[in-house]
Amino acid sequence: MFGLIMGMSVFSVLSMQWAKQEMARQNALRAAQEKAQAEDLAHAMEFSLLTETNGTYREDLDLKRAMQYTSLATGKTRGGERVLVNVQDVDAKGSFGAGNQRVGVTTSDDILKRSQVYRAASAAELNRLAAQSGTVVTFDTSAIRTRQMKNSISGLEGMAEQVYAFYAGHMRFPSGSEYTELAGKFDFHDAWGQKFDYIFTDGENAALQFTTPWNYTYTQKLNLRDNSQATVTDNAISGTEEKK
Amino acid sequence: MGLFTRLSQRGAMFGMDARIALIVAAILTAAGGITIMSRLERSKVEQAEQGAQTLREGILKYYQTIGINQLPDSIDTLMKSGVMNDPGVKKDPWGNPWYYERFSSAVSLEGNPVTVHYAVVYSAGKDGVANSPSLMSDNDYAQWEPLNDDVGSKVSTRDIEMARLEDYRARAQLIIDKLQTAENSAYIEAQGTCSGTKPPEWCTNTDNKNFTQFNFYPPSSADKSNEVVYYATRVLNRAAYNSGDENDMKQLITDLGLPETYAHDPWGRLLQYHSNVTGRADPPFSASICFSYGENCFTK
Repeated sequence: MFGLIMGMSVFSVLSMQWAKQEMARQNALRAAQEKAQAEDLAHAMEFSLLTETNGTYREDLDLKRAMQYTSLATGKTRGGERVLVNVQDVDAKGSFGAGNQRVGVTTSDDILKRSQVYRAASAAELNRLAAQSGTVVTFDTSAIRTRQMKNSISGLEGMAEQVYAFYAGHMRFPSGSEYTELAGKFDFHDAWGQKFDYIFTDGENAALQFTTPWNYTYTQKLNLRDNSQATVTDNAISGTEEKK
Repeated sequence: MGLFTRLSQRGAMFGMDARIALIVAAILTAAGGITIMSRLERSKVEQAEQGAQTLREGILKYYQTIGINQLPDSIDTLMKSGVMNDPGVKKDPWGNPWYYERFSSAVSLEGNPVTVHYAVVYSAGKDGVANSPSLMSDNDYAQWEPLNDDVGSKVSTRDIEMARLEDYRARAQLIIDKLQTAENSAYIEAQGTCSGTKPPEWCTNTDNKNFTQFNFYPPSSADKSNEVVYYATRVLNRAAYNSGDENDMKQLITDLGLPETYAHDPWGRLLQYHSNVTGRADPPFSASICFSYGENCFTK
C-alpha cells in the first residue's frame, strides 16, 4: 500500500514537472505564433495601402483590408476571438498633408492584453503596449505615405529630366501637346499610377505636378533661370509644394 | 478454527488492497487511454496544420524558383518539382489528398502593374469531407477560412511581389546608370581622338555631322531613324543590339558589366532597349529600357 502511494506520488510529481515544462514551451510557441500573425497582418495592411489607386483610396483602416493580403487562415485568434485592430491618430495632418495614423494589431487570446489594446486611446499608448509585449505590433501610415511621395517625386524628376532634354534640343519647353507625346514615350508615373500633370506657361516657364488621392499637390517648377532649381534634383523631397 | 479465521481475515484484507489497487490502476489506465487517444487526434490536427504550413512554404518556393509567374497547378506538380524537402506531406495525416485552389489578381503596386497570386491548401480533416469554400476571386480569398474540421493555410505572393518590385527598381536604375556611363565614356573617347593634331575625318564629317552630334549610346535596333549617326556603329563598327532579342539583350547587359541575369526582370520579362526613344536626329538623345513578355513596351 505504502509502495503504491509512493509510486503514485513520484508519478504525480514527475507528471507535474513535465506538464509545467510543456506548458512553458507551448506558451513560448504560441507567443511567437501570435507575434508572427500580428506582423503578417500589419504587412498586409501596409500592402493594401501600397496597392491603392486614386479610385480605391480609403482613409479607414480595418481588419477587412488586411485580410485581403494576409496568409492568416482566419481573422480570428487561436481561441476563436476576433483579431483586434485599434487605429489612433498620430497627427491630424502629418507629412504631405496625409493624416498619420498608428495601427495596433494583436492576435493574442490574453484577455488583459486584448482589453488594453482595445481601450488604448492614443498612439503613444499603442506604442507602449507594443514595447511591453511582442504580440502587439504597430505601424504608422506616415511611413507608407512618405514612401509613396518619395517614389512619386522620383518619377516626377525622371520626367522633368526628359522635359529638360526637350528644352536642350528646342531651346524652349514643350507645349501641352508636345508634352503629352513626350510623356507617352516614358513610363514615369506617381505612386498611384497616374501620369504627371504638365503646366505650360511659356517657352521659358513650365511645371510638373501630381496630386495625391488625399488632395495634396506637389509641384515642381521647371525654369532654367531659377537658381533654386539645382536644389530640386539634389534632394528627393525638396521642391515647390502647394496645397490645394 | 481460529487459525482458519485469521487466515481468512488476512486474505480478506489483502483482497481489499488488491481491489483498491486494481480500481486505481483501471482509472489511471482509462484516463491515460483517453488522454493518449485525444492527444493522438490532436497530434493529427497539429500535423495537418504543420503539413499545410509546409505546403504553403513549398508553393511559395516553387513560385520564386520555378513558376516565376505562376503557382503550381496541383499539389502533385509541387511534389514532382523537387522543391519539397518533406515528401511525407503528400497526403494529409488521415491519408486523404490535400485540397488546393489558386487564383490570380492584377493590382497596381505603387503604380506598377503587378499580379498577386493567391492559393488555399487544406485538409478535409478527420471526417474526410471538404467543407471550406471555393477560391474564385480576391474577395473569396479575403473571406476564406477552413470550416468545420478542415485544417488549412492561405498563400499569397504579397511579400515576393514587394521584394521583386524593389529588385526591379534597383536593377532598372543600375542598367540606366551603366548606359549613361557607357555613353559618357564613348563621348570622352571620341573627344580625345578628335582633339588631337590630326583628327580622323569622321570627327568633322560623317553624314554632314561632326562628332558632337553623334549618338554615343550603344545602338539599338528599336531606333528606326536613318538620320542618327551612332559612334559605336560608324566609328567602332559594332552592330546594333536587337531590342527584345534574348541573346542580344544578354550581350548588352554583359557589355555594360552587369550579370547576364539582368536581361530579365524578377518577373521573368525580357529587357527591351531603345537608344533614341524620343526619335531625335540630333542631341540630346534619350535612351530608355523596359521589360515585357514580348510586346513592344515602348508604345504604351
